[in-house]
Amino acid sequence: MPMTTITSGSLPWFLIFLQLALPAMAFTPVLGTVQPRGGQRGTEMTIRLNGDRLYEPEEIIFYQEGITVTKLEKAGDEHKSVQATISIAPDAPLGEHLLRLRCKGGVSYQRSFWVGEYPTVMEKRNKERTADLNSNFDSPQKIEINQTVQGVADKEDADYYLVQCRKGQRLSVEVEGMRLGRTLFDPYVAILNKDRFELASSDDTALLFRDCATSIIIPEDGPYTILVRESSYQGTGACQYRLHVGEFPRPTAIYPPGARPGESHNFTFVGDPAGDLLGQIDIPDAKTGFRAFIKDGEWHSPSGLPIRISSLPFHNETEPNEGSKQASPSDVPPAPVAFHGILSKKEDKDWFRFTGKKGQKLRARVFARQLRSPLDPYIIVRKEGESKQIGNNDDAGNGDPDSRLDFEIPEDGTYNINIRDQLYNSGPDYTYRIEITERRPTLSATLPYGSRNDSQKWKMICVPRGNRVGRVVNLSRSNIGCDLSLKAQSLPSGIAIDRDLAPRSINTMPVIFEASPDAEIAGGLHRLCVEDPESGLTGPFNESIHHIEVNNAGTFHSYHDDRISIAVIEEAPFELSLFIPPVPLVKNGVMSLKIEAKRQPGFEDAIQVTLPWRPPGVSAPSSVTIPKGKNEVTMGINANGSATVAKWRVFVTGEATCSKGPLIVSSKLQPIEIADPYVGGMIELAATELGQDTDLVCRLSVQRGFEGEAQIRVNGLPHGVTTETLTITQDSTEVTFPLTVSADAKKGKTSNIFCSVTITQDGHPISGTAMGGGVLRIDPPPPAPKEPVIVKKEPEKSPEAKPVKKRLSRLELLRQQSKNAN
Amino acid sequence: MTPRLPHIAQSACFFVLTLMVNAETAVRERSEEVDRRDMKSLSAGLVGLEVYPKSVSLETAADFHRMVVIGMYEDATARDVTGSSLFSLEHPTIASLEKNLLKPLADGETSLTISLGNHSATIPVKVRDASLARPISFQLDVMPVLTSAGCNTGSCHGAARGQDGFMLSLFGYDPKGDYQRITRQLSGRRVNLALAGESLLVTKAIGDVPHTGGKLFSRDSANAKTLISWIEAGAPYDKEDIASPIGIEVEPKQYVLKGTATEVPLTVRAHYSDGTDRDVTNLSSFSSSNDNSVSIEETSGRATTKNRGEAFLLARFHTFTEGTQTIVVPENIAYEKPLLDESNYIDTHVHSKLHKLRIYPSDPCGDEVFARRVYLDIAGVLPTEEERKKFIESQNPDKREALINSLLERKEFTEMWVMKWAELLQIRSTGNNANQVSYKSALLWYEWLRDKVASNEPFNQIIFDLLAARGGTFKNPATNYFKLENDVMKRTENVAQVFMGTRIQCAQCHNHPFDRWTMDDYYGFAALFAQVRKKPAEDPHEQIIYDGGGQIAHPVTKANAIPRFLGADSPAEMDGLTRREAVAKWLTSDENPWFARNVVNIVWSHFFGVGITDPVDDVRISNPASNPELLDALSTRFVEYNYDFKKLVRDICNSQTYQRSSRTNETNEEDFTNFSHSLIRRLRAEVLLDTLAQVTETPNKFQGLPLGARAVQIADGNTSTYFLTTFGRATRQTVCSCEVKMEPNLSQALHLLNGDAVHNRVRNGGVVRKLLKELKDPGAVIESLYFRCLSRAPTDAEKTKLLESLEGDSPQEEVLEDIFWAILNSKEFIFNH
Repeated sequence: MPMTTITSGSLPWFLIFLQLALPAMAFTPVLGTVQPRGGQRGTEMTIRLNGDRLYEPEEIIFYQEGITVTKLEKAGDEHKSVQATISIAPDAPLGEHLLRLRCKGGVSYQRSFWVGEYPTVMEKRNKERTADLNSNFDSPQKIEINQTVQGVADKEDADYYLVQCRKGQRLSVEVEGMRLGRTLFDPYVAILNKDRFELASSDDTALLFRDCATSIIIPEDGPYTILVRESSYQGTGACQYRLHVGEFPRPTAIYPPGARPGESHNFTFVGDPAGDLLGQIDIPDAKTGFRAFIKDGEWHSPSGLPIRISSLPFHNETEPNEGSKQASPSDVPPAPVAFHGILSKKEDKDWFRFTGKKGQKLRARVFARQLRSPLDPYIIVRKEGESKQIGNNDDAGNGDPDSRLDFEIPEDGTYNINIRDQLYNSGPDYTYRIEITERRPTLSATLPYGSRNDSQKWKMICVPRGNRVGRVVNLSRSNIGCDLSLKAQSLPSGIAIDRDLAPRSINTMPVIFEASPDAEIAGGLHRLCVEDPESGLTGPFNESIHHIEVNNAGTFHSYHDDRISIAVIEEAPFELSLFIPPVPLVKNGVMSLKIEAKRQPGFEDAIQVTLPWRPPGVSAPSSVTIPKGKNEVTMGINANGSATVAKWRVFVTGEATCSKGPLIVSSKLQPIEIADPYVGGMIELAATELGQDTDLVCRLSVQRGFEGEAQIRVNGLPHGVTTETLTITQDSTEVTFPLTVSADAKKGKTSNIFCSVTITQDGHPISGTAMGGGVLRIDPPPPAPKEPVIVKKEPEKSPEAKPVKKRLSRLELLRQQSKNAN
Repeated sequence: MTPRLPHIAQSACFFVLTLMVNAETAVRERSEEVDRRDMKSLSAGLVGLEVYPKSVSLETAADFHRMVVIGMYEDATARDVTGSSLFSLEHPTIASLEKNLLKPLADGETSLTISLGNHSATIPVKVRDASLARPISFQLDVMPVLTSAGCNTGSCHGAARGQDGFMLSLFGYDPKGDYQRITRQLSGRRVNLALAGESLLVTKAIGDVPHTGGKLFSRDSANAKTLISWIEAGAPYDKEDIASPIGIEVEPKQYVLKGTATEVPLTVRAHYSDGTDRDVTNLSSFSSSNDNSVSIEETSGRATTKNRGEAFLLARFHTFTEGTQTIVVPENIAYEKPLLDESNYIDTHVHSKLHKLRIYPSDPCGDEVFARRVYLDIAGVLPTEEERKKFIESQNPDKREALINSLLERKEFTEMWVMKWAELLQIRSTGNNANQVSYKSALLWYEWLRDKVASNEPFNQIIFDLLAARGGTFKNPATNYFKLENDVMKRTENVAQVFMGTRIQCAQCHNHPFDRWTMDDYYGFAALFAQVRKKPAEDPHEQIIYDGGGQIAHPVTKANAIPRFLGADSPAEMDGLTRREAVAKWLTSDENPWFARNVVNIVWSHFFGVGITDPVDDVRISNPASNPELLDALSTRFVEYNYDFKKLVRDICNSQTYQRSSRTNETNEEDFTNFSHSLIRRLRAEVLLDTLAQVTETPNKFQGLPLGARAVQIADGNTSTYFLTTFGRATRQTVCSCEVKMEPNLSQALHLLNGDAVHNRVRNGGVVRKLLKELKDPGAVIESLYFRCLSRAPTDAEKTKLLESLEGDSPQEEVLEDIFWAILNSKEFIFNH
């Protein structure tokens, strides 16, 4: 059987053949996981980035500073893994470090790597790596204190770790589970003593959402067991976790929860079992996402506590302030202002005061859950000394428990705002910040979802050299109506953007990113912004990536940034051109767009073409396909009657799933004009009997002059009724279609008859519906009368009436018939 | 309308007269019958006279009271001696006496002395407004006639669509509506003001014209006369401030009767909101819970004894039902009150009841039986061979008590009760949608309950925390109770059924036919649960339960129901609490008459297989407790113990009553409700599966729990296995105590015989191989298997027979496995005895 026997001599050839069959590079690399999931700061280590099509890795793009890649190389021959040697700086920020892998053929999805202070040990598994060896309280995995364990919570699995502790020592545990962003994994952690009693446990925490942490002071020397499992035993092999076990402090809140940029303050860290901790924090200029870390002894908490940074002046509460008469501060500040407090007493309420000016449009916004406080705030605004409420609010909506209340100051004076927990809960970590600000105009932009439940699809802008990629940008304006322009604060060299000013009436705009043929293959994170050219007001271009989201339910771990990843990648195997006829698309009209693909030799795959952005009132098929080996396709688009008359520019995008992976490129922006129709008019009612021909009269009103003849045709006639296409000129006022009605035509009323007119301008057709609403009634013949001869003769007379030059309308016909009858 | 006034007065007088005449005739008949009895036999053994009512107050000229005299005898039995007693009034000018019927003559006070032989009794008599006539009332006179004649029952005009075109509200929940229908629906027919006696309301009832319901009473009956008088008075409706009945009293409350065909009367007195009372015996309807022992005439309330046994005689008037407990013992019984050991108050009450029934309890059970029983009941596991041996060999005289104490400290005890309460709370998952109870929620909820039970939190506090729970369904998992059932009415019914043991469902649409609940009670109680609100939490899988606004409308009045605790007369006091907090506080307070009784009954039922009230969740006047004193004593202790049911279990298990043998004697073989012997009970599904796993050493695996978890530990009502379903595990879909099915059936037997449950476990556990290796001797293995499964040694006969079976060619291990299999299929293994 020579065919199936591979001899040692033939093997190299076989492999070489396989190697040739695989592409040398690929597009859209897929990054699945980063292993291990984290590392210790101040160390060097190797990590594996696993996925698919990881050809020619160029760099790892980190969103934060602190990790440098010293070596990046492929691992294995199947391009499913890349190995990186990284160096984690001793001062690298603790916690989540977001990254993307950039290859020559594209940039991967965002993934994360976690930095901690402890060395990492792995959970011990059996030889086959199918199960772990610590699923029993009596056979735990022994670990040292101040270590991080990376483990997996399998289905119906409980993991036990044993650690020796001394009396009085702080034992803290924290799990990064859901935050690792891999799967919907809800971890549970507990500290058990040697008699199996749970000394502390944690499932969900306000601070860490579905992740958990707890901390105790060790009551007596001895072994303590830490249990980690999925909270309802519904783990899977993907439920990885990092469990920090150590002496680190684990406060649950920080006070005050807000600060001004560039200042340095003392903060109280609340909730640690050893008592409150004080720490001085230097507040950076950054506005969002800042977290403060506290160190006690040698160690920091693995995750920090969020602080709202804003230049607003603020006041911390002064107790007692439970009633209107105790509202603070005594020196009433004017709005805008911020207040800080803690609802610490049972059924606590806090009252504040501020002054407002008549007509001031204010927004009271509570930062509690946004800053991971357990508080579910409820606020009420009143004029001081009055019991009548100006407004109240529980939740801002969409699952955000923080309150938000817009109100207007009715008259100059002092106003009170009071806050409580919606369920009158309280605690030392029920911190909050209330901001009372004027409602100012704001602008922002984002990239829309490329696919349901996949917030990352096509979020990376990877532009092939000498080619283009287009995107539709979502625009958001609050308290302002204005035109918007998109600007790039930076771009990779060789990339230019093309876009138009977005008029105030639209909330999306098309943008083309074009790379010059000689652009260097490079990429990174870049800031774009939107601007009102008139006022100069700008807004960020945000990116929100949901690492864990559940269909129809919501998100469980997200990352927000004002940078997007843009890169120049290898040349694409095709280019797209869009040809739009140089005539307007009239309202209620149709038009054919021609899309041409210029293929590189050897690239034959089908290309799916979409028109991602459509002017208001214009619709198009979701996609058309340039078949395999072909270079052209047309796409019919149409404008409805309420389309905005304006000149726009549009582009098409082609997606090809080729052997090198999926890739998208776009055409240039091409102008298209939406115009009013040339011809309008109305169709008169027509009625006849089965088998009797009749006329359909259309009264024309030419709204715009045109040259030559235009073709007019009737559409929507019922079965069994035929007519012919007629021609009109710009001087026509009426056109009559002779309708041939067969004996088996559809009886009854047909009411959706319309006429379309095609004008030819410079050889290009302008087609559209000129008039609609036509009605044709076909009655069955009247029952045969008893004197058939007389009745039969009457219709014979009517053909004789035909020679009458003037066509009669239905009304005129009826009048005439009635006259004759008389 | 000047002519009407004298007309009313006239007809009222006539009405009064007819009532009196009617009552008189009835009394005469009965007393003559009693006269025939031998006076000597009546006096023999007589120790006292009981007269009912204990005091008489007569208001208006129409009032009367019929006296009932009961002779109490030295053997604790009772006899009706009314006809043989002498009645004498101190001041005959104040009241008149016709045999045993008291009627007013003039305002004042006097006393009535009744004597028989050497015994006599005196009761006070008060007369007020003796010269005033009482005007006839629709609600107080006519409605009782319609109810006592059964006109407004579900099978007659009380049906939702009425009967033959005439509809009355079921059991008279809507008097105003009934008045409208009688007087306005068919003008001149149902009520004929000109010829009152010809009104259809009368002629149908007396059978003068064809009536689907037949003849209900005769033209000269008091009922017919009441109807005619009312129509003659112009068929008026009552004034707004008319007195309403607030309760009835049925006397005597308890009877022990001797022999067959003994007749005894019941007397029913209604109390009204204006402080007056009336003898409504003739307007009440009567029924017996056990016709075989005591039958009762439906309209007169005269009971007649039949066979030995116990019956509960019920009287119903207006919306009230009250009852009397009667016990019938044979005439000539060879019974001597036995001298019985009593461990505690439980035995006192049980023995007292058994004495009344002339029943001898069974002997105490042996140590072997006790050990198995108490292990299964308290911990849901079998004693291991070593545990059993240690107990049997112990010389400690208090070893039973010591064993009970040690078992109560085991984790398994907590888990058993967490499972039982979880069934009542219906802890189960319903889906992963935010509006449903997710598996995580169910698990957290179960763990919440487990932690509370394990930390010995007073049970009333646990239930308070549950009913008043607010917050996130993850953060405070008890809130899932309000997520599970969104319908206010079902939620209300569940609370009543689970925590008060009473079913109020009927009263949603009409007044309860066999209990005291009215629609006002129902909607007043439902209003307390009408303000539960939900909002989304930050976690998409969580919801926040809180109290907001919300009302429930009374379907008859269409007005918002005023929150009222169940059975309370006045609106609920909120004291700044939310409605749920208020109802939770009321329900779990020491003064609540329902809560503690219900909990102790559930606990009792676990250990005896039958509740003191049974079923445990169907407490109603017509389903009385078999031993009310016992139930009272237990609930009083439970409150004293600060709702620690561990202490209650200790009392129960230490009682002689619990430790009785299941072997019966001649007197108690028919008794299943008075705890004279231990009942043989099938193991519950979970316990059976756990014991199977225990003896075969094969760990269980359930979805959503780690390997080796016990069936008792399953948190989610929705998690089940074929085995558990077959053996009737509660799905927790409803609050009904019938969710747990304890009845043995064929599929259970077949599953054990042919299914893989037993066979595979015997094989996979390798117990026989292990024992053979350790013990070598097959006889010792058989013995060990007996100890392991049945907690006893094989009898000599069993051992000989089993050893014979080992003599064949089959490998020893296989035969021993077959023996193991056979033991597991034996009734003795499946039942607790």
